[in-house]
Amino acid sequence: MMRASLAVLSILVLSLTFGWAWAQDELVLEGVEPALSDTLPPDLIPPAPAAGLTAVDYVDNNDSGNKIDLSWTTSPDDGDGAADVTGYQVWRSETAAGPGDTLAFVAAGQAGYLDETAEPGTPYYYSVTAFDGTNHSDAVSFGPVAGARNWFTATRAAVLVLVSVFFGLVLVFTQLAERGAKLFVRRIPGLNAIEEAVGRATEMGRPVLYVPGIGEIDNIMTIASLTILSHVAKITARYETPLIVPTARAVVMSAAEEVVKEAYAEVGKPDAYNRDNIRYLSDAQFAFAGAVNGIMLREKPAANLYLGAFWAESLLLAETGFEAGAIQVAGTAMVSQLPFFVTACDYTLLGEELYAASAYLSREPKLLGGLKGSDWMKVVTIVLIAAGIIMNLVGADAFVEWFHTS
Amino acid sequence: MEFSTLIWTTIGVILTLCVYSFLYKDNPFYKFAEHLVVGASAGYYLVIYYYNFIDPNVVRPVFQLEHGGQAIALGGFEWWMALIPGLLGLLLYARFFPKIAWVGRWPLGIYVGGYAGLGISPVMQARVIDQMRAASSPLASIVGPGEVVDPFAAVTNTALGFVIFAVMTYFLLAKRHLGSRGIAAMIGVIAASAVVGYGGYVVLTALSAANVVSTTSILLVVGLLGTLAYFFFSLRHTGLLGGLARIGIVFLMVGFGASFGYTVMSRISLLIGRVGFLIDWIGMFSS
Repeated sequence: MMRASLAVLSILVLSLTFGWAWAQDELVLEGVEPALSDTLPPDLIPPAPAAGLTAVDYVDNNDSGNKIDLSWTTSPDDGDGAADVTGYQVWRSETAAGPGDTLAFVAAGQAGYLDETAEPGTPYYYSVTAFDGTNHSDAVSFGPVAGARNWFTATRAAVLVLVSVFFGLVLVFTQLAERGAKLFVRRIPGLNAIEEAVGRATEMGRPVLYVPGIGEIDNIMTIASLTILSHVAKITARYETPLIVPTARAVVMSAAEEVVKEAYAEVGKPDAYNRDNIRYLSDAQFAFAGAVNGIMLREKPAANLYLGAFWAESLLLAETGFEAGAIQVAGTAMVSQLPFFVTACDYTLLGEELYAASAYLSREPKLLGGLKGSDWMKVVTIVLIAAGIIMNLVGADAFVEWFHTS
Repeated sequence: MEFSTLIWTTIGVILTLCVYSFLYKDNPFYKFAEHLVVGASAGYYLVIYYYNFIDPNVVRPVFQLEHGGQAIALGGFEWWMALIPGLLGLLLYARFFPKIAWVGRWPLGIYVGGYAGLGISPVMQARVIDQMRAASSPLASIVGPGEVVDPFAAVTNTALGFVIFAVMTYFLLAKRHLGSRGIAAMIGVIAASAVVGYGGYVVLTALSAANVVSTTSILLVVGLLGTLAYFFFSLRHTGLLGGLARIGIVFLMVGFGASFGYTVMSRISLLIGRVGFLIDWIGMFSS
């Protein structure tokens, strides 16, 4: 049985093999032309090289020094002569010795290439060879050349102009404030609430909890929060109400210590300052939130102030404070967290009100200048939007496109 | 199943339940979980900060003279660029020595000033200029180029836009001036607003290239202007500015409401994930 099966299998394999060979013969016999490369000897003649390679730092006022512009004269065999050039291979090396790495293949007929991958300031040597599909010509080389960073990016001129206008406004208003001009800033309702909250904590003989958010010290919200903390610390120092400041960042804790200590000294109560109340809890967001919740429940502050940069912990904090029965005032410019504070707190400083509050409370000329400057910058923005709409309507798109900075 | 997997998962389940016990009230189990996570995270971040920041950016460049695999020359530019921030960081500890505590303000000043300076240009570009540019083209069509306008969508777009416009005009701008002059005055103002608004809309549509101008995109620009007015602190919110500011706060609250609902949904999905974890743990015993 086994032998019979093997015999059948062998016959099958042989039939298929002979059948395939017969089919190949039939193809030839039916006159199908073999490919040209099968009949002609291989091309051993390289094309004539390109000439006159130059490489210069690309200058359009917008690049960051990463562009080198290459140009060359095409090979005499490109289009004319043997007319067999299929393209050019561009090489780049950091030494004069060798062709280095392949940078790009450029199609025949093209006499230039823009290298956009250069490291600014690094000298490169470029080579270009013509290619006919089989052979490379001799290389034509150029170098060294290095890309230089531009000082000015023309496409971002709008940023420069508007930042300059903003700085100008801030400087003018800061000067005015320093010279004693009375700069009007409207009262922000949430600020009255802060004083009410501290007063209530004092009446109840319970501490005030001030959470400056979990942002780093480089976060502008944290900086604004520390200014408000100074104001709150002065009130608590006067009333001799304990002030607890839990922090999530070591540097913020250092800054908060400085701020509170100074505030206590300023109102003549340096001995009332308790360093242990400025606490570092944890950098981990939810560990911090859990620990602050613990403080709310165990030390029972009567007023919770959340002012600064908050993320997902905002609702956990505000909800626990609400459950604990504390009066709560919040303020943040984190748009995604404002809804939670609006829902769970008694008063909320919305967005820029946080910064305005710090200027309003401190009356510090620089902060006032910044606030007034940003106010009038809003007027500039409104005017520009209106102008943009009109320009769009009359078809002058160039005006709006000038603000296309990316 | 690995015995160690069961042990660690069970610890996770116990800690999860300890945290959930807070829903009842503060208790020793929650306190234990809270202290555990605070302590563990403080230690964890200490190690992370050292190995991710201090070691590669200060210790290795300064003492082992390399940064990211690149050799650094002693006394070279890169070496100083590693040493100076390292020394500034050390100055933060000056506050432990009262006599020189003031020196600790230097690194804070450099850190805050540097970041503020670096942040101004990107903020101006992304948060002011890009938005201003987008708001300058409010006359968007409700359909793309070459698309056929759905009559129902066109009517809904226009009607919705003007109902909102007219009601907003009445409640935010006209109501306080009308006082209690009755329902006829209210209807009159709303109708007049709708007519004026519709007239403006027809003019805008005629001027723009859009087939059917989207009223919602116009409303968005109105909302933007109102919100800017709300955050204008140099004048009292009375008169026209007060009306615009009220429009702004309405838009803000609508936005907050939407954001609140969206986030609550995502929090619910987190809860589902945690409950799933607890159910999976029970399933571990049956597998």
